[in-house]
Amino acid sequence: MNQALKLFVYCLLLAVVLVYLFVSAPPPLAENIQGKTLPSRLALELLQQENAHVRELYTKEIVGEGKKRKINFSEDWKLAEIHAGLLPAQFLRETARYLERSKVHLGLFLGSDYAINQANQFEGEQKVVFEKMKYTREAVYFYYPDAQRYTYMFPDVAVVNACVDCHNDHENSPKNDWRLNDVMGATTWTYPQERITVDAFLQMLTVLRQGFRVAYEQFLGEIEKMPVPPKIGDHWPREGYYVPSADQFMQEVRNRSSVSTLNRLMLSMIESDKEEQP
Amino acid sequence: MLNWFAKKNFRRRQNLGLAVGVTVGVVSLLWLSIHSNSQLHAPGSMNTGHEKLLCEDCHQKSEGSLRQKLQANVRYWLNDRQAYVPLGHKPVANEHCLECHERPNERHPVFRFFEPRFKKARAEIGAQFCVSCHREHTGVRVSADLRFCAVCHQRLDLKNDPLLKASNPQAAEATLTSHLQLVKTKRWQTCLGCHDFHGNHRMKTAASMDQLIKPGEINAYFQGAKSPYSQSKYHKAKQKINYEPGA
Repeated sequence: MNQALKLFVYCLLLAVVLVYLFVSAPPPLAENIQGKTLPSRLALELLQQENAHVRELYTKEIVGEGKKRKINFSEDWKLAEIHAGLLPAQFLRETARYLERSKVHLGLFLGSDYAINQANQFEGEQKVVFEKMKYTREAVYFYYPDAQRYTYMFPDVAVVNACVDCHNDHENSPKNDWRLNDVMGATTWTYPQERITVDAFLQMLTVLRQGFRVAYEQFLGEIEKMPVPPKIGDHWPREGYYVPSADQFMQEVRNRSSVSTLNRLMLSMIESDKEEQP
Repeated sequence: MLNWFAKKNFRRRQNLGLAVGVTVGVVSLLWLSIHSNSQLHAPGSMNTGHEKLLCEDCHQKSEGSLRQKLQANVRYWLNDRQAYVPLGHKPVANEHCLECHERPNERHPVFRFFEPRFKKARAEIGAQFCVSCHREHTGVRVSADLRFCAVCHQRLDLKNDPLLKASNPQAAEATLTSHLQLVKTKRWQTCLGCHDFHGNHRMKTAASMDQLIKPGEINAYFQGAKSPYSQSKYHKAKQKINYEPGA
């Protein structure tokens, strides 16, 4: 009898706890994340796509064509006595510095296992992932528990001879036999959450593009100090001794990126709607 | 008869003591619960510059009733919800500090240290959190050791080192050294003598070691003394906290 009574009391207690916890007398607490969401993996992929467009634009149209017009580019562009544009990797670094100071919690880092600047040397888990990436040549998405960040690493392939030559000839380069199409490094993006609202993604995108603009304005700031500066305006170096203004540069960034970014975002929303439907 | 009085007096004294105790207790509790006295039940003195902060400026209650929070957390454990909800107060995070101290010229933005490459800095000094160096309720400005630069800046071979003769022809020979030499001899306590970590003071970086601000002065500054760098700042901290809803 005692046993039966005990069992009855336990069941009763369990029932009370279940009612207390699961029968939603008070409305369930809203998630911090509200509204339409997308996986942060996709968000980082879209941002990387934008970044790739900007790097290509800056590398080919500004640095490549600019050099042909005798515009100077130097890794020492920050030194007071040197008036030169920043190199493509430094353009990315300046963009990343802007992101670090923003509230979007987005991390961007270009590194390598044979970095010229030791601060960009891969270490630990990143190095392990990069070793595999050199063979697979595919992006890797993983959770980095130590930093509590979702991390997406994209291979950085040598697409123009200028990258290869510069790294092979550099006095501090630990590797001098780079070849075209080698995976020279990886661009790493980090973000703290697995899903992100569309609003937050658009905010990220805005901050990233603002970062591109700030980096480009630093280039213009250096150009203006040159003894005979190229004309800054609507024209590009391929047209003569010109460089585009920040507005012109960003317009070209939008032309190259916006359609593909929006398309992929819309597709993701449509797929997400399909999944939600019973 | 005497016993009766003694017993009666004892009972009266007991009642009186009880009444005084209860009154003092209630008055103390009421006094402590007055909003402006909230700092009296903090675990330690507020840090330099934070003296006027109230508890709730940093320690904010999480939203919802206890039942809602318990339900939410059970759903979280059953994988039916993304975020855990603290039952009491939300943890104090970088965002709370940046509400007043966010600056566009920040030299060491705290979120930078979440990058995978700063693993050592996270493990050794918790560089990804403001409170690792500015531990609150310690009554000081900076709770960290002077030599924390050592964690990240071991490789410091500079081009045109400003400490060397070429850049510094006026300096006395005895005071000349290079950044590389400073690293080799582990003189990490000297870094902050020239370099302002957050870069918010209007100052000219010292060009030679004889202009160095002495470690003792920096330590005193850490403890709450006036800044040896400069009294002028690029950005002043906000004086009043104004959180966005849901922040």
